[in-house]
Amino acid sequence: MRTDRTGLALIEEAVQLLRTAPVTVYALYCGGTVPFLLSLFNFCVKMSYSRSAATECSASAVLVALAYGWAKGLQAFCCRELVRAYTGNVEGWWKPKTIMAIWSRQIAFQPLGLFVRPLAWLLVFPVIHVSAFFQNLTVLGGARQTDVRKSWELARLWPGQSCTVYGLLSLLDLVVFLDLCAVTFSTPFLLKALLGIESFLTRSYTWMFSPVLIIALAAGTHFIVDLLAKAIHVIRCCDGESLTTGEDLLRRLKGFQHADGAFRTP
Amino acid sequence: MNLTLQRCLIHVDRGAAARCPICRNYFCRECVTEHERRFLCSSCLHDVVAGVEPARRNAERFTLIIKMTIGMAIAWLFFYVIGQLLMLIPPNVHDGSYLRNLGQ
Repeated sequence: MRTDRTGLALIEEAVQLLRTAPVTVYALYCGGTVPFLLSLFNFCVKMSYSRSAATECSASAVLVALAYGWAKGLQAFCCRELVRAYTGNVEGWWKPKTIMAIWSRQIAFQPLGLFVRPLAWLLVFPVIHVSAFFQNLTVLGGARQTDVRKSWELARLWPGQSCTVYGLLSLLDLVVFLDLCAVTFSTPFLLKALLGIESFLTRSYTWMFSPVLIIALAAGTHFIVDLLAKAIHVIRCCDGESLTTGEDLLRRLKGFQHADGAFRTP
Repeated sequence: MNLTLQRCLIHVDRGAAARCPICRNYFCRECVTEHERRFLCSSCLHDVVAGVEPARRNAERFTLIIKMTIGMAIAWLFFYVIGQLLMLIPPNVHDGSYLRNLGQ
């Protein structure tokens, strides 16, 4: 386990982990997050433009909450797959009993983050620990009784590294958001300039300041960056757990055993 | 009755070391096991564990269902508040007409 790893090195390792991750990781992540983001976008559009928004609000909020529960469950399974890709060994999460245990714990605990995280943002300092706690809970799954306590303990590990990672991720969030804005805003005008396609989007620029569009772009940014954040927390959790289990050393030894020439007597 | 005068129910050649608080029989040191600060014989221990475990599991399941319900209620409340906030935004902000008015 490397405690000397900088925040930037950790992000690089997470990117490498995502590059080598199996396709199931992306399938599970998209299968959970895309329906949730679509239902959230649909909800925001309805609440902003529909005449019957006031009467539909509570029923539509139930659907979004269900989609949120669905997304959190699949994100936890996606993290299990990432742990498998990183460590090479993980308990089988695909057993129906384990799936139900993980899903139910995610539904029970993750919604707290919807309120606790913005509160932590207001208090500035604990936001890193709080965000890391909820990400760790996604990584560990929560099927075991000790997972909640362990998530908090792992969230407090290596605070310097955490701060750097969150600073860099916030910067990345901003860059991705601006990129998405640039692509979205320029596409209709490019279509008009290059292909002569004119639409209501090119007649006025006021649609760019629509709150719903801003929310959609923020959701798209979250969709892109959150998987990287999850990969980072998978590495941090595995390394943190290795402090007490020594799993990382066993993994490295296994690697030496499989390498050509290693451990061979002449 | 004095414990030192008793014999183990299973190993009659051995002296009793404990009395099971459930079946009230005497047992030697090997025949009793500590369970929640009580020394129980193997058969009583089996009954206790068999009776306690499903009850505890049921209680845990019930607690989890309540937690899930609370979790979903919290998620619903959050999105409901978001919906209410969006409804508070005037329609001219949503369609951007306020910007045209500002320009005039």
